[in-house]
Amino acid sequence: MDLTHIHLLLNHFPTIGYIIGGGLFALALITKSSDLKRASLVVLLGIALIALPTYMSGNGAQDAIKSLPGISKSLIEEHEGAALVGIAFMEFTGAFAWLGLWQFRRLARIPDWNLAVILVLTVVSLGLMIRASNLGGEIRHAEIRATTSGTSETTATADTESTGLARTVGSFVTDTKWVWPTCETLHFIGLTLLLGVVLIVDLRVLGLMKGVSFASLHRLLPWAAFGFGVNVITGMLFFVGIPKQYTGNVSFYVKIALVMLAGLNALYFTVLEEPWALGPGEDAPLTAKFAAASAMVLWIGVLYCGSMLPFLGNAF
Amino acid sequence: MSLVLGTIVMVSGATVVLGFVVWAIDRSTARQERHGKSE
Repeated sequence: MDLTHIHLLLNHFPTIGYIIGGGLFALALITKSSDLKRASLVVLLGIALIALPTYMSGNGAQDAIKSLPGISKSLIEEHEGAALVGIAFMEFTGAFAWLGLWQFRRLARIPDWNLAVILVLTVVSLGLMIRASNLGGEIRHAEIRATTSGTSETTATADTESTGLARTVGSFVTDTKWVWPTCETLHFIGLTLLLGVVLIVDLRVLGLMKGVSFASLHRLLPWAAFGFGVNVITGMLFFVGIPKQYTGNVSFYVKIALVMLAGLNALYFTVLEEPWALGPGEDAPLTAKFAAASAMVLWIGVLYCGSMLPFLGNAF
Repeated sequence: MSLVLGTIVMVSGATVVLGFVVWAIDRSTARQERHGKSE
């Protein structure tokens, strides 16, 4: 199995996932069901996470097919650019969905302003992702290309200039001398925030600082989410800048897999009742301790794989 | 923009702006929590 297989496996998730998640969210708003709202936000957040490897594996798939006869490089780049815009909106939707879940835990409701933001972002993300999916389909399906795109006539032999949005952003990242070091610095600030909060929360659950309730530490979680968000944005800029450093790098594959698992793990501490009920002086149940220990292993694993990019793979 | 000036301005700007957003969310939620408990 290579990145092409992974891209083919994942590329329907963002569109179909947002149809399901968005549909559930709309139904939750109509029926005013809190449980349905939370379930739909979990779906929107999960799909936002899955969208990351979907985009990244696309670059591997691109390398595999770009030299084949009848494949248009300009269509590939148009699809890549549309997917980049779609994923950007999807990640913002995921961020507000996570915020809604965090707010619900603290307030027993999600503020109206956030529900409105999530609804608008979900609709926009879905529209952008449908466009990206359609452009992706046109790359291999000439039967839908002829009637929908004026670029259908171009082939790999005809177009050699890179003109897509993703390549423009990539050139900005690599050719502007302050962009990469700025992203690198912000990536470390994000990592510090994320790991700092994760370690404090997890150590409490494992039995340290027992005088502190989980609810007090739960208040810190937006700082970890902020760190994670900064790292997703800067990480995506690195990836778009030089995709080949990552698409052939085993350390990067493991890192992204660990990020997915750590994201699921973070939902446990954001949403579920079990850790939330942990009061001052109380010992956490075994499942909470397992979740805390695994969170530490996963996030330190993410850090390790990021550091090992040049040593286990071909980065830098 | 030079390398040093560019990185300092962008890192400081991004950290301050995004940090303020998280701080504002934290304060607003804490206020609503207090308001909810006092009712």
